[in-house]
Amino acid sequence: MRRRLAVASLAVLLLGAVLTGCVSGDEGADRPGAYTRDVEAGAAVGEGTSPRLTIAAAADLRFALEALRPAIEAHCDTVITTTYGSSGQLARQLTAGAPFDLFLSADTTYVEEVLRAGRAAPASAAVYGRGRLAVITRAGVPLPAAFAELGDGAYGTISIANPAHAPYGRAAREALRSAGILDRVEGRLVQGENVRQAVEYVDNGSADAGIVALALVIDRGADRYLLVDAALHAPITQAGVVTRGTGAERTARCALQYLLSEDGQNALSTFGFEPAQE
Amino acid sequence: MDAWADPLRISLLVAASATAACVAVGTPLAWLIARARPPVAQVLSAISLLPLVLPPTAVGYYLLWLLGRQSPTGRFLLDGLGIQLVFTWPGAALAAAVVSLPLYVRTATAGFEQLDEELLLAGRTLAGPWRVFFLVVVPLAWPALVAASLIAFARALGEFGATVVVASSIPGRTRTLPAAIYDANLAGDDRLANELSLVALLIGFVLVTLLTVALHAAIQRGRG
Repeated sequence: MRRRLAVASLAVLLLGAVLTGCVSGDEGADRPGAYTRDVEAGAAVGEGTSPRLTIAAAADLRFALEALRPAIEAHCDTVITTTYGSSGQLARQLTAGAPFDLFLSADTTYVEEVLRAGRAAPASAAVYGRGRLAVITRAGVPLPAAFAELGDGAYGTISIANPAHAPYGRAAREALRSAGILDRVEGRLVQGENVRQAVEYVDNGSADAGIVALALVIDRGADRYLLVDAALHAPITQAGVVTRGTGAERTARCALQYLLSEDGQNALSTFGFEPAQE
Repeated sequence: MDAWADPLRISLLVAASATAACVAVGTPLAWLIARARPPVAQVLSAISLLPLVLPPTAVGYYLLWLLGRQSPTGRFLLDGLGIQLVFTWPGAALAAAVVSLPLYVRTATAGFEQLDEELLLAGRTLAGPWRVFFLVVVPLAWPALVAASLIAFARALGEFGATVVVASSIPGRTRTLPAAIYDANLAGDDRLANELSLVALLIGFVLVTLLTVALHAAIQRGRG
């Protein structure tokens, strides 16, 4: 009788643990329900629409967002102004009160920062895709056949985004560590202020190679970059959030929701982004 | 190791090198401007002032192009001479020197222009132009030259836009004090940003004191 009770209690406990795990929200969120799949549903009373929408977007989104601009502007009846930067930099500006209506980060950490600072509109944080790393080289330097070959002395200067405030920089460092070449390569790393600058360093010949966002180089053709194995780093879960109190919240929700829609996800996938939902 | 030690060391190295370059290039230039006739003097003066009116980021952009692989000079430096200036502290020093040169030249020129013509003529009866310069001009004008050096040093120490474009902000190699403050701010490390800014402020006080003394001496010399 006692033994049955013990087994039953254990089963209940286990079941409880499993259920809590399921309800805990999407990957990357440390608060239950922090990320939604329907941004527009969370619209609160008093939120407005605006014919002008300012978006603070992570540097890796430059080409993808430009490609999506006409569709979002038509769908949400607005005109978009974009500011690109590293996610950390934009999050800092937002928490200090910068007047952006929508924040598209390259990860969830910086969205969390905006949430904690109380700058986010309720129930407006959503994951819109997962990014990938790619290696590029400057003209005259051959692409490595494998990621670990970056440890080779031929790649004298390697550019990455600054890991202290750029998610792609953090992922690049992590990939180097996982591949076992971080020690060898550390002294040769040059940090761009954001991942776009890391690409620029390679393009202007200052760096021999760069570990950058796939979305920024995918249009160069598959033979011009090396895709980095996603297993080498934690997933680059890209999330966005609407800023509160801007008067353009509903428009921002519309724009973010568009990214989650089928059209939006298809467009993002052409830039190498993997689906928001597995 | 205190977090401010490395950025301070790099900043002092870059600023000192930049000031040395300004003295080497700026002193003869200032002398030329002070002594040359109107059209030449004006043209030289305008050219030397150019980096002052250009935004530092533009100066950095032009230097990056010049020193990098995209330009013939850059390719010559890199592939021909094996000299890399981009992403190095000498590159940062060069950027700081270009930005500080106008300030040095302006102050040195003013100092040279104040020199008593009679003394210079008297000197020239006794010695050739080079000796006159080092034995008469410099001893007479040294407070102005010291003031010019201090101004150039202060400017080079605080230079951020041009240096960060040319040399980036590599910890331990090119992360100067201003760059470290900027990076600390971007990384959300307010404690570090405060600490570094305080160091910058302290150095600023020291420089201002020295500068005030030097300028005062230069003005007194001009009056005497």
